Amino acid sequence: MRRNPWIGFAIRRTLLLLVSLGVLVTATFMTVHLVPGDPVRAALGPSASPQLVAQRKAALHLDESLPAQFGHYVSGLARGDFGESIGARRAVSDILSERLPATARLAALAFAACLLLAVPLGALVAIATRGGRRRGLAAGFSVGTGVLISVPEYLCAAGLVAIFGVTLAWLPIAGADSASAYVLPVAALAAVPLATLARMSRVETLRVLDQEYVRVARSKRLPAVRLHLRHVLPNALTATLTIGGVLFGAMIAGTVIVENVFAWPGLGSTVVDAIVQKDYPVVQAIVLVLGAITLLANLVVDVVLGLLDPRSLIRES
Amino acid sequence: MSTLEISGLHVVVGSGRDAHLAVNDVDLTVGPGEVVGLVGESGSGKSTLSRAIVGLAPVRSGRIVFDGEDYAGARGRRLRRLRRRVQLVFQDPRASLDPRMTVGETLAEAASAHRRLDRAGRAAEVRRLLELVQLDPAHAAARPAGLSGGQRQRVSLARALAVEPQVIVADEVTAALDVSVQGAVLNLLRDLRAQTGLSLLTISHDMAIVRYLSDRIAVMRSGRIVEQGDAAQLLGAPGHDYTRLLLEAAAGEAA
Amino acid sequence: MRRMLTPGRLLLVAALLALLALAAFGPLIWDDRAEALDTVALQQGASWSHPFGTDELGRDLFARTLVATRTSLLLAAATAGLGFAFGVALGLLPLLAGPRLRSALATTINLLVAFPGLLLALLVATIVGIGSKGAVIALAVALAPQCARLTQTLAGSVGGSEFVAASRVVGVRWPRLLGRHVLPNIAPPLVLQLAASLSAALLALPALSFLGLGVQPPDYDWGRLLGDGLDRMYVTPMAALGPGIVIVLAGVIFNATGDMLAAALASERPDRGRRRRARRAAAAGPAVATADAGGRDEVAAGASADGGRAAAEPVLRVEQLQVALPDGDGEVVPVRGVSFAIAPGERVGIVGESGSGKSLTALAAAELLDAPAVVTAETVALDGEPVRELPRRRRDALLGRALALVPQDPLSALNPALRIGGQLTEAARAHRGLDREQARAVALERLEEMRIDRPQQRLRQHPHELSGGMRQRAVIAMGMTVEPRLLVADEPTTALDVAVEREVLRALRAANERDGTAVLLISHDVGVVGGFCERVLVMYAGRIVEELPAAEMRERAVHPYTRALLAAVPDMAIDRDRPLATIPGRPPHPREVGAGCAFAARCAHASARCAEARPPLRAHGDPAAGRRVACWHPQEGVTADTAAAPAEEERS
Repeated sequence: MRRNPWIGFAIRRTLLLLVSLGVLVTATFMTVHLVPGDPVRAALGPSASPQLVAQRKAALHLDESLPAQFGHYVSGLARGDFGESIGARRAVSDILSERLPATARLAALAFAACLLLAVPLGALVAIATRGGRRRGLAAGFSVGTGVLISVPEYLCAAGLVAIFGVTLAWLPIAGADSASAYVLPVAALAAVPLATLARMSRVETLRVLDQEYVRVARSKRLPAVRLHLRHVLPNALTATLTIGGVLFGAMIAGTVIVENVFAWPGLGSTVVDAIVQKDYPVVQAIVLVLGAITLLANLVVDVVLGLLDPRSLIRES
Repeated sequence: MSTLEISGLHVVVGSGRDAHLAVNDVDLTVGPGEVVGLVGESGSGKSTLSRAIVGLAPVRSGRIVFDGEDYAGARGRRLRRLRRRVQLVFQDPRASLDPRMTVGETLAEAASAHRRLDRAGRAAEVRRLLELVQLDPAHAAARPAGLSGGQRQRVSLARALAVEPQVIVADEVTAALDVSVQGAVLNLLRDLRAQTGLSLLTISHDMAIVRYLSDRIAVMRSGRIVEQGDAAQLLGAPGHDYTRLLLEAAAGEAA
Repeated sequence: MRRMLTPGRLLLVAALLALLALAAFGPLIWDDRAEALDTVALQQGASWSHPFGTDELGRDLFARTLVATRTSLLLAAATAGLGFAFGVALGLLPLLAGPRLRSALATTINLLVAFPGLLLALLVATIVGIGSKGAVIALAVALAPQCARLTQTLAGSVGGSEFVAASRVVGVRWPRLLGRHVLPNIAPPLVLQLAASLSAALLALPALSFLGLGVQPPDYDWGRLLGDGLDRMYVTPMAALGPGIVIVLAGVIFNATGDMLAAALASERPDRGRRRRARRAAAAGPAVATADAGGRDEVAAGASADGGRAAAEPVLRVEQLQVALPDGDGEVVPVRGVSFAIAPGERVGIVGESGSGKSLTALAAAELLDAPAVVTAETVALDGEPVRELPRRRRDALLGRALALVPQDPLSALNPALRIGGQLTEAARAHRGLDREQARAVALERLEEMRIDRPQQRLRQHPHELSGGMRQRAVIAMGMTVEPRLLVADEPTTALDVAVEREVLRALRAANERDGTAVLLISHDVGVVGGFCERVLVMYAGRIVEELPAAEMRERAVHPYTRALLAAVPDMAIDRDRPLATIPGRPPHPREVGAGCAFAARCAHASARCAEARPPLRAHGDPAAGRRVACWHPQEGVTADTAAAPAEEERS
């Protein structure tokens, strides 16, 4: 009975994705309807004329029954129509296509930087400080990452702006015009996840180093490089990546903050304005899109984990 | 004193894709005052069987009859009735005692589970139980971490005895103990049986221990009982190949 | 208790109290200053009279920051409390729900944890509206999933634990179970989570205020101050940095407090009494192996009944091996001066119970123990070469070629993430200079020798696809690919069933006979060691107490411990009418070992001398017979019946 574990995994995971997307869509839909009072009136303000209000209501199908509205919503989504912004009178999908790329670039760069730097760093520190050696390095690493994870993103961002943008004036701090404009926002976004991931990487590498198979591999007296690259890293990587999904989610959340600090032309800055202006369709759409991206990223992480560690395919999700 | 009679028992463990029949159509009887030894290797289902007997594992089908009543799938009050008569001692002495409670508290809790006792009564019970398992009553103030494996196992036994059961299921009770210490626990089981007329279902992978303790022996493999009968007969003239295999391996290990 | 109050901790507590005092009394003291308008000094930068500068209405920002402490802390507490309550309730749901619903709930919680918390908060804020109330509820919802997952995991693991099951079987009812068993055991991590939630809330609330979604004017908290200050970052950096630094400080204080709580709760483990007793015992006599009044141990030159072998250089010769491990309070020495030798092609066993140090001895001799363990020895010679003195490269080359390890757990001996093929060929390629094809051929050959079917297929498989016994045989095959002089097998069959155990032992025997590879077998199972080995070393409390040919073990062991151990093992022939032989007491913990013979307390033949002086390991009887014993009163005579429980014997 040798069923290919990938098939079962693919089915389970896709089902999970569809269900979670469904929940996300429903949740974002319900947002507007849970708002107390009249959402259109709240957005247009008390001075808007009743005809305008009624007109916008009809345009948003708010006068129909709840299931009917849900139907409109979902069918709209399927067509790529996210509705119309209450305040700006633009198709939300236009806003999305305008602002999404900037956010995507920022998040992707930050995530890549995080992975490429944090995992090797944590692993190296673990190997170097194992068994109580080089206590200074271990302490320095602990304190350094400890401080970073205590500092929330907005402070990180603000601090970076203050030091590199204002005081030293080395790098631009607003807009996304040049390559150098990417440096500070990416750093601000990646800093805390990097520290978290590095700590996790160190802990997991230490755990792997204690495993029996590493001892057996060591008993074979293989060259150190081969030993660590072949036997230690894959296992440590797998264990560390299990938080990859959560980390990506945190990073998406971070974009909201970082974009606001650096006036980045992405979805993060848009959503905050929309909330303040009570422009619900925009908020709905942005949360939906960002949430969907996170769910997809989690799927990718699970797939990568499955490739690295075949046993995880067999485990129930 | 009554007979514990298990017939046609099926127990499924795991869920969804992992579900499998750990106990497959098992018939087993433990008569009053009898010691029945269940021998099997890891994965044979013997632990699942022991848990199912006291209602810790869900029964798919079959009967667990004691004193004329069928307790398979029992819940609530009926389950409590069963657990008054049949008790289980677990394999791992470290895991089966709450690390945060003293020995005295654990035993007092067990003693009060089915009876109403006042403070003095509880204290007296704790003393009595500790003496029954040949432990110094001073140990009542100790926590599990301060006791050796053998002592912990005796406390587990004392806890099971607190409800005054008629049958005790001892699941690999010496497997986690050093050889030099396990004899004490096994001797204790024999003494208790002689003193109180307790019935014992002793489960082990060690054929020599099973032979030493049991009047009757049952051999379990992959969820089924492959052979069952009087101890001397089974050991002298095993009927099933698997039994023969186990006996050979056990004999072969004598240096 | 005294050790708990280090200067660092005192400082922390002082800082925490200062923060709380500031929250309580700040507004009372500085409110006026915070509200005082100074139209002359609008939007000024840092100065002596205004350390953080002033805002657009000329109000002193430093005073405002101090006053904002109360709002910030209160909101954080409300958020954390609410989030924690949501989370715990959500996390307990799977426990109370049926099994089918349980996994669905668990998956939901995991998904929520992965979902960006801030988005969740934004969604909620959209519904509830902006302002303090909205911010608190929104963030509480965002914090809840983390608490839920922790609660769920804890409740699951404690709820499913053996002692809860045991209490259920005894008849304890659910309310008492929850209150007496589950809650006290999950409380410490949950308390920590509450502390962590508090710092998280403290740090996250300003995020919302900073975005303009939290506290609305005229109220203000640190986040709002930060947000306002950020707009003027270029002109007056302190307007933003000031509140920023304060936020970080508060976060660090709460985080550190949480860590301190964690350390305190963790050290509150119930075995402190035992450690105290152990310390007292250790103080009574030196635990370190030194040459004492009894004299040095002798090393038998790998002698066995076969005189011919004794002449050749032993494959492994160890003299005065000692292993020390750092222990919370100092040091423990689990291996205290072990000396032995193994002849080429010989099968030697080390048998002992828990605490005997047998595994550590073998690992130390194979140079596989590193920091923090400290290994010392006068000599460790592999094939005549002094391993510990060689330069690193030569040592690795020697050890890699001459020695192979077969550990206890077959699954963990092979790297589960890699295919078997690579693991079976890498050692041969590294040490015998074989290329990939040659190494593969060797691996296949060895697998076949181990009677593993379909070896080509196996090479491509992962370890978990093989059964336990097959894995263990594959590990032996792996060891044999370098044509080692010595195989060290550390409890190789403990985790295996009896039938499978025979196969593995047969495989080891084949390796020994076919290639002349010596085998050092470590086990607690006297029967296994006696059946497989030619010579047996019995260890107790870190030392060898007896060495003798396996064939003579049953009848002619002389050390009281060996005799008692053999008597205590039930075999298929023991008398069912007599109680089982036991040894009173238990093996000593390395910390508890004193000056004299470690077995004296449990020995039926102990005298005063035994408690004071440690008997050295000396040849016993005819030196050519290769027997050694470390005992002041070795017992001659047939073993089995005489070494019964001391109650039946006279003390000599």
